[in-house]
Amino acid sequence: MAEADRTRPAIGDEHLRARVLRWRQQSQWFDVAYRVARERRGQIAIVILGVFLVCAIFAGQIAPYEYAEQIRGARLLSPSWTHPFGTDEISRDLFSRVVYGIRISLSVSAGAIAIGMPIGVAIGYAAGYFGRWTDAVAMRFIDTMLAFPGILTALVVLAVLGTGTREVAITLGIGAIPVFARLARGQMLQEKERDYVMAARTLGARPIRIIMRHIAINTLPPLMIQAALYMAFAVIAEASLSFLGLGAAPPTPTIGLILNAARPFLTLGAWWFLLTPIAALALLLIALNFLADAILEATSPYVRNK
Amino acid sequence: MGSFLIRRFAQGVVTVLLASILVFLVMRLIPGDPALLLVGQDASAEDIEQVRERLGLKEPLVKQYVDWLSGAVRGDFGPSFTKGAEVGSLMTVALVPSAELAIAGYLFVLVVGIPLGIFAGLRPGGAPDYAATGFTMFTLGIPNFVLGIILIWVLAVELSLLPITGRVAITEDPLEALKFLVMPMIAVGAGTAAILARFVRASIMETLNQDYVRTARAKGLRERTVVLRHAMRNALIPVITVAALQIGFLISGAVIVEVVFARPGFGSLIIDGVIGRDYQLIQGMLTVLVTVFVVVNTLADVAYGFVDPRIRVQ
Repeated sequence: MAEADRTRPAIGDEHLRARVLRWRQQSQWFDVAYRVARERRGQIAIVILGVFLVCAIFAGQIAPYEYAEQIRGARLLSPSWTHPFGTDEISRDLFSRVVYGIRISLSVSAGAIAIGMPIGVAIGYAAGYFGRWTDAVAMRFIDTMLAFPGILTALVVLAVLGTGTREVAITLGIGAIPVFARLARGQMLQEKERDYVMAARTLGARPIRIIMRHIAINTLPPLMIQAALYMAFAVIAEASLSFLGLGAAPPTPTIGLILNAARPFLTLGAWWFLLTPIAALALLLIALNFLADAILEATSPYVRNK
Repeated sequence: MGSFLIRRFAQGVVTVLLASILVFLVMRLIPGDPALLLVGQDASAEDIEQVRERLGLKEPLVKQYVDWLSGAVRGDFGPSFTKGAEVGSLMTVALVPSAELAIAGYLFVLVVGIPLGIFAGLRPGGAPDYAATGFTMFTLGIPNFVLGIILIWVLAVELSLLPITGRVAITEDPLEALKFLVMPMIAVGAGTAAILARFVRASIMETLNQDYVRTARAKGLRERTVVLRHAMRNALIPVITVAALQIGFLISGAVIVEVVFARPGFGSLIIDGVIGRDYQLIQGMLTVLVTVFVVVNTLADVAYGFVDPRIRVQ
């Protein structure tokens, strides 16, 4: 790595490099971000996710039309300069719809993580750290929830909450709890035997401080990888559920709804109608998986420093 | 081995029971009166009262659960609230097409995933390895139901090779039935096959680095013997667990693929249940699905215990 740095001498670079190095030493977050940005897969992920994030945040500014706006005389048009991704069966601009669709995909999956990860990690840490009956109860609960594979958990919860975008986010958040709990517990079991934990305990630190200040930072990388992978799962699940009519209701533009609307028009040769949501979905999923790979490469002591 | 079997079996039973309690309790949170759902909005107050009595909705929750469970064990899951039939008979009808798809999909997983993984693992960087990597990338970006749509697009619409959607019973016309089964089978199995291939590849590569493989080579055995007799058998042991775990995800994935291909089965039934908030139906179906999942996992653990004695001791 130092080798690569030295091959690119430039005026004023010395100072910047020293500063970057200091940041990397001071903050583990910055160090991981730096390493991810140096991986090929990390770079691809950052570019795609960056573009999608901008789309999601500034959807209103980027989309040339409203997502539900029907443009006179523009039914099922193939891609052109005015409509780069074509138009759909009721004359709406597909580029605009997909931009808004990405917003929904990202916010639902980020929402699911925001709900499920803190709860799951807290349960997992507690089970791993305290052991005994806390662990027994938590593990029974986790095993029971994991007995509903994949999208089945979502179906149970949606039956109660009813359908809708927010409901899907909550549902997928609940589904995330056992996933993160199991991982956090395993990490905790490994870490709590380490000498530094013993040292902190000897100094009289209370469990909550030991967990938050000492152990948490050391169990972060696997949790971050899981977060990226679960986001990918949540994106698929949201698309599936809205495809099935259990998510957002039309005319809301979700990837799943656009896919479902496009199906009957295949026989009419409207390939752009189907290709647009598929491409958006595939790029997003590949980027999230690459991000997970890059974090693994950047944080695993076996892989890095090679 | 005996105590291992008993312990593992007991664990499975506990998980199924807890899962059924969880589903039962969660379903009671559904807003609205099931009795009203069953008799319709126009029914008189006495009618509703009568239905409530009949369904046992006035009993305490614990009794309701025990009654439901004792029925479920005998195959009686109570009446569906929206379909006008018994949940048990609805599931029996849906079982055949779903099992057909699940079995076909799983065969696809094994037939594609394991050989692909083996060839990729034997020569990392070779052509099969690239094929496996490409396949994995593809399935990462294209989820099962989207793959289903793409298959319909390419194979059925553009090339007119296969019928678009629907199902023919295998007993009626086996050849025609297979034609309808090809695309759903690939859609259900592809993602799982890629996961399995990656796992097999890693396992083969790890095994080939073991000392006993070097010993086998050192004593002058032919490469084929080394791979087939020494490495392969050990490399495929951990695959059992992964292969079994994937069955659950295959089944949950089949739910949506069935809808894409308009196949009758568990998928459309359970989604009707969710939309209609038919908790009796969802409760029955999920309990059956979870039981299948847990039984498969338990069997995999037991099989693992048989082939690898170290597991039994823990």
